[in-house]
Amino acid sequence: MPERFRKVLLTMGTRASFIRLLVVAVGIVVVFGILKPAVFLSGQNLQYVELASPEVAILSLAMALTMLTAGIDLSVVSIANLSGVVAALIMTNGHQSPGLAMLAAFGVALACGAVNGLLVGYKHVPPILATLATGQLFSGLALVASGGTVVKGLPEPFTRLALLTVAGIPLIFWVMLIVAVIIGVVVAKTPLGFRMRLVGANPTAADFSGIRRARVLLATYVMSGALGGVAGLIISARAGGANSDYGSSYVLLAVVIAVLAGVDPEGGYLTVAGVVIAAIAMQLLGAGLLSLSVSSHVVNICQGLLLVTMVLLNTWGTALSGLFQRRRVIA
Amino acid sequence: MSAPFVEAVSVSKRFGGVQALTDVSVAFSPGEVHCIVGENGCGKSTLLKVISGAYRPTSGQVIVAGTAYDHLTPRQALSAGVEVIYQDFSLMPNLTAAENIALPGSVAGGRRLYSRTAARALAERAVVRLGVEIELDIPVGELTVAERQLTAIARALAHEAKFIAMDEPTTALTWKEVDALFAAVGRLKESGVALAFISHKMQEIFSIAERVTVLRNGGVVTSGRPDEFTHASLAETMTGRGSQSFDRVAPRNKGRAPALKVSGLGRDPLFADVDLEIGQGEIVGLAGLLGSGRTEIAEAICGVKPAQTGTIEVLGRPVEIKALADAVKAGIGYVPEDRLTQGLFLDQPIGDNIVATHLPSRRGFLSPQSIERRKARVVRDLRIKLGKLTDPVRSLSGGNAQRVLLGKWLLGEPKVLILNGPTVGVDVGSKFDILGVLNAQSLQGLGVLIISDDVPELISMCHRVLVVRSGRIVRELSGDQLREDTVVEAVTAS
Repeated sequence: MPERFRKVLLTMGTRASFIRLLVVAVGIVVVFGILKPAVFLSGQNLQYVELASPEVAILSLAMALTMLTAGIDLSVVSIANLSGVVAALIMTNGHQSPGLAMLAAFGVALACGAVNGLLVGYKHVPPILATLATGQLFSGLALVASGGTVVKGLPEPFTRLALLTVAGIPLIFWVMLIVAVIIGVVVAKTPLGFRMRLVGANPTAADFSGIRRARVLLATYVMSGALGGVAGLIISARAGGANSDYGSSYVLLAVVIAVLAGVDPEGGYLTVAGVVIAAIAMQLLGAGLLSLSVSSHVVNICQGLLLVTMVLLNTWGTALSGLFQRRRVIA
Repeated sequence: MSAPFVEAVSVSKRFGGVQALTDVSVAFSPGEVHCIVGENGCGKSTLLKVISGAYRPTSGQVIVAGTAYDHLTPRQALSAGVEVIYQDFSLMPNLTAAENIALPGSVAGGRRLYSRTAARALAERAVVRLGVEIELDIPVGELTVAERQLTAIARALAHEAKFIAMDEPTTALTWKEVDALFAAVGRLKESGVALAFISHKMQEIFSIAERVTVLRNGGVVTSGRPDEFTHASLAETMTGRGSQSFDRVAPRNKGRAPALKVSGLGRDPLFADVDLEIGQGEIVGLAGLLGSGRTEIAEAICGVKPAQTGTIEVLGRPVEIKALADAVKAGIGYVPEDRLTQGLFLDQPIGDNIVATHLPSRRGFLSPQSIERRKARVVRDLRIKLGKLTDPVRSLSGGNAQRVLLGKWLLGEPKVLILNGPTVGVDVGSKFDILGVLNAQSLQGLGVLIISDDVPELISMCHRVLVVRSGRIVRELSGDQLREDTVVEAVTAS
């Protein structure tokens, strides 16, 4: 059993950053569980976290995928909003079924991802510039399509998706888990995932290994776009509407969660489990602080502090552990 | 002989559990070129770093200009005139050669203001003293590797260096450039600078050294004048193994379709009208100066930078190659020139590097068992010395890293393998093993094209050598013509 457990840990990521992340996540639960057990451990609070985590986690996974290839997708939230607006318009103005609207939204998201992939993979535009530009473009399109307002009055069968529970856990949380498993399988078990990692680790060597880099990048950004679409649908189902600038702070949050999870922004390493845990940990921290009835600004400050600490540890961690080892030898 | 300027006395160095140097004593005298030779991992680079103050020896002393130090600091070493030029030269690519040469001195001198004219004059003096020509006013990033090497030496001179150590300075140089470097070394020697020279290449050691010290496993095996050794005895001392040589075998598959046939290959303005044929089981050399088009021809055949005109046939079948992936499918493999940036994913596991090109998968999923089998097979067949397959490839020595690269291509059972500088930066033992593997593969029908600056290697390995000049194949040498002097002459003729 311990051997098996070790193996599971190995596949999730043996890096010190992953262990640190687990410690932080457990720490948050323990601290707030002791400070405010009645509120923090209540079913209501748990449900809040279960409902709030999926969109953030899925956006972070999209970000992490592009970071695996040493890229970044700054347009992912714009893609989410554009697909949310498209779905909302089809349901309200077009009076079409939620299923059709969701398919259309998903198609839009894939197309957006393909635009990014073509720019980055085939036109060699640096990912940060390409997705910054397309992000503006997609937001603009969403703004024009929505007329600058929130598209409201989504049909009940659609908004109910955000409230449905399966086995006592919200449907959207299940969606997040399923998405995470699919991404995990793609990254760890398919040639595409293997090649994404190599392209991120050394693009030149990938070219000299006969890897079709442009195709790999195209697939990466299409996947990232698709995840943006899923997140957009979750967001509009939860909010009961869609607009062009929902959650603009999510872009940086997604980057930060990916880094917190130990994903290497320079490419070559990704832990799907880490990203999901990091996203949930951020929500737990927020919920815990709110249970102490502090203001939401303090929540921001604390999240920021946690991130700075973790990023510092991830950057300096190896140097620090090296220092401790040396001390031990001398002593 | 004058007293040594730099001397290592009974130096030992441990890294954790690894004994890198054991009781090493070496002396470097003014006006003498002292070659330190040995296989990769024998401790040469560690020794240099102890002398330059970068490493503190576990025990022993470094004596510089008559002062003994238990713990020499880099600053003390520099101010005493000890300069080490590492393989990466530590130049700043965005600054001009003149700035690179003059700046470190003015920084160390504590001057706050930088004078362009003073820097330029200082740089010019250093270059003149070295007796070479370097474009001083263009960024170092645009210079050739040879010019960068000379810039680094000029920088050392501008610092009033009295001891200059060079770590494998000729690795990336062509013969002509090596000559220029050696001429500069000769002038340095006459002006009384003590020189340490680290090299793998026999030819160079014998042409430049006045004293040779052989390191093996962190200890000095022997030290003496070069005329006390022969090529064979020196190689034997370095490896601790008997020297071996290949018996060249004629290709057995004569009459069969050639492994590779290239006709009329051209890419403006790099090369044109390239025809070449490699029989099954034949080893062909491609020789030429840097910039002659030899690398470009190889990269066109394998699709990295595809040709604009011409046809390529593999085993008599025409193939269209627009990208390396097409070449891989057609049965062509390419071991690139620069192992560190082009060949390997340095921070990725050794095992993943091995299967990077030929990745077994079924129905869209990786097949873990056959991947592991392939990794194990390459490690076994190429005798790669490693800790764990999951260690990063960065942890391997040059020779083992090159075996990983070779194994990665042999996994696909190619019909043609093109190797660009297959033994650059590889120790003598690994070099022999690598060439042995190529030889064995060719006996099974593999067509091999080797691009190399190492003439003795081409002579001993190849059935034929093609000479490239200005993007065209100008000569073919085989049989009795295949001698060192004829190849060098053909390559450098203008």
